[in-house]
Amino acid sequence: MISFDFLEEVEVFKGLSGSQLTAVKACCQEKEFRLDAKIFSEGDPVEHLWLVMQGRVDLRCELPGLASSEENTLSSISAGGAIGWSCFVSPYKYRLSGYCASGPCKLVRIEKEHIIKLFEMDAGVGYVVMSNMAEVVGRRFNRLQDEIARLRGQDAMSGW
Amino acid sequence: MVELEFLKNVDIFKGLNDNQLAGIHDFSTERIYRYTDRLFAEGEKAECLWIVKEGSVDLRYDPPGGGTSGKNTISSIPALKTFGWSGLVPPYKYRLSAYCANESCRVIRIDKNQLVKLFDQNSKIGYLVMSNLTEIVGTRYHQLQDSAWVSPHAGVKISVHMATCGIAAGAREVMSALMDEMAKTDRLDIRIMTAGCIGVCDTEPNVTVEIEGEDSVIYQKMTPDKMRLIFNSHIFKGMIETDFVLT
Repeated sequence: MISFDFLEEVEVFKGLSGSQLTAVKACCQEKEFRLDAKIFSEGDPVEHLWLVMQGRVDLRCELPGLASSEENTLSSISAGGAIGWSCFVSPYKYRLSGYCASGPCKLVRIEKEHIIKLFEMDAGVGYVVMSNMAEVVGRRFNRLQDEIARLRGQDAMSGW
Repeated sequence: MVELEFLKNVDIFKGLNDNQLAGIHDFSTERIYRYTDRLFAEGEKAECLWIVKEGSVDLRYDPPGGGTSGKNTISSIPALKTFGWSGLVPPYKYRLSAYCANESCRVIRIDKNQLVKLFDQNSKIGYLVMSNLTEIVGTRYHQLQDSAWVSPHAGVKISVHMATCGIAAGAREVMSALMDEMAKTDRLDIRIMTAGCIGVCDTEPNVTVEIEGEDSVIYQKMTPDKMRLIFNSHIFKGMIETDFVLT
């Protein structure tokens, strides 16, 4: 069962009031996956935002002709984490595949169309959630940018 | 002066109506910078959101010991695009320094505090702008992730000359066609840039194609259709479209 306590702790919903969380809860569905089950595939259209309630989800790249394994994992999302911000970013496709890595995984599935409708009806919810989303994506962007700057700095040092 | 018409075409304000844009227009100011001028420095408090109106702006990391060059550029921001979005995302500090990358750049500065105040008063504007921002940052994240696998020095550079004379002749439409073609390709070695006037205003819009190891080619009197043709023949097949070359 999806509790308010859980939703309150989810980063993208921080700052929402009780009534706003109730409206968000109406868009949520609980889904359970067995260990190693594939939740979504790289290249598929992103139609849902996922929240991890229990267990761990691995985001893996698919290698042609090889079965998925932990060796292909690029990042892992544990309880409280959100997956699928690509549903708000063109071309709205998954860049990696999602696997249940510690079974069973309990996830909250939020239909993209459903939550966008809510944002359009109550722009206050949309403003808070999309501000949080921009923060999450911005943090990931900054981490990647720092890493690239660090590597380029190292390249430049090596070239001197 | 900042025109409402210009703001309408900016990526971060997509979907806003004239009334909503008018609220933002009231606290937007235009500034001109010269080549290598620094607009802001890495680590400074991010108090403004910035938009390129003409020219392009390089976002660079400052190497230890000072000095700056194009080699330190992480991304180049062309006209109509937003940068300095750290003002809207914690910890509200610029992560890179911004430099004018052309002879001159015109940029719009939007006061962050007034913008956030407007969002708090009108959450519809806040929702639309923050949705656009998520899309912009997410797209740049994907582009950065892809570019991390290739050399920072692209083998192909395509510069659209977007000074006032170029824009008046249709350079924006040419750039738009070029960006559409780029979106269809997986090539990671192509860098799109804006550049200033090359002194032959009567042949604008002009576009320069530079391919590593070859002489650069300037195309004249460009249109979106010609741009698409050149992108597919010159860049992909190595065939120069001699009929359109500036002689």
